[in-house]
Amino acid sequence: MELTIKIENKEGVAVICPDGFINAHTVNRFEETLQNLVKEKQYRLVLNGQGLEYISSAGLGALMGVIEEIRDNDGDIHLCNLSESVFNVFDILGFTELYEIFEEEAPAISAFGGHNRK
Amino acid sequence: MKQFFNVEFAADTIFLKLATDVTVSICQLAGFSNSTAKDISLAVDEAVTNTIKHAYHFDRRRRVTLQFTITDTELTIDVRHNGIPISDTEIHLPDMEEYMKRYRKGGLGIVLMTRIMDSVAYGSVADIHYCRLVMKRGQSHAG
Repeated sequence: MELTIKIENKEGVAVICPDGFINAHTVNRFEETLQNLVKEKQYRLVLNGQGLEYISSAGLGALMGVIEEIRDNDGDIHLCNLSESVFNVFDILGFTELYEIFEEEAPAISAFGGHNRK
Repeated sequence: MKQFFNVEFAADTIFLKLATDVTVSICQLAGFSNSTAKDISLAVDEAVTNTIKHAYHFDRRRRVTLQFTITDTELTIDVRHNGIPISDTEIHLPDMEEYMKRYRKGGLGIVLMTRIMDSVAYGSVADIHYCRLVMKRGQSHAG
């Protein structure tokens, strides 16, 4: 298994749960998932990294590909449950300033209540 | 004493996982911490991806070679190919502040490589071109 992606709708927020790794080989699936959600006008997204073993710049590029449209529509992408190594990739690039990162899923979802864009 | 390891595979992104797994194992053998080994494997992923994408335009019939050289002082990883060469002068690091303001995508791989490794250089010997990634072996990276 390289990458499977499950999407759950919780309190009007789409929770994306990738399982496996995101690199240049698997990124199309991840990109397609994000783009489909945006097409469906789902602008409140949580990326739950609990099953995400690895992400390369290809995955971060996929997030960058949709974030502008999402924020233009008063939405955002919140990240949660990132492993140390996945968090490290966001941190090396300074993306921890661009995305709100939570330890757990519940606060990542509830933060959309009083939406506070970074 | 120098130790060499070579791995060769088709220029197919399906082998990225193999390239990163091998890199982690060799980094651990060289005494790097797990965390540094994972960072180095990410730099290798980015270099191999760039090779497949830019040097070979996703032509899976071509070959990529990883050469690992461990010396007392450093680990050198050459990502070799015989496709379109890239020179240091063609590499432009994006201004990350501007990058994030404008939500750009692409070009992040080279930023990751340069921020992780002690040095990143491009070169050629005859028809073989390489991206050379170097990490010094020392206390700060030790496992």
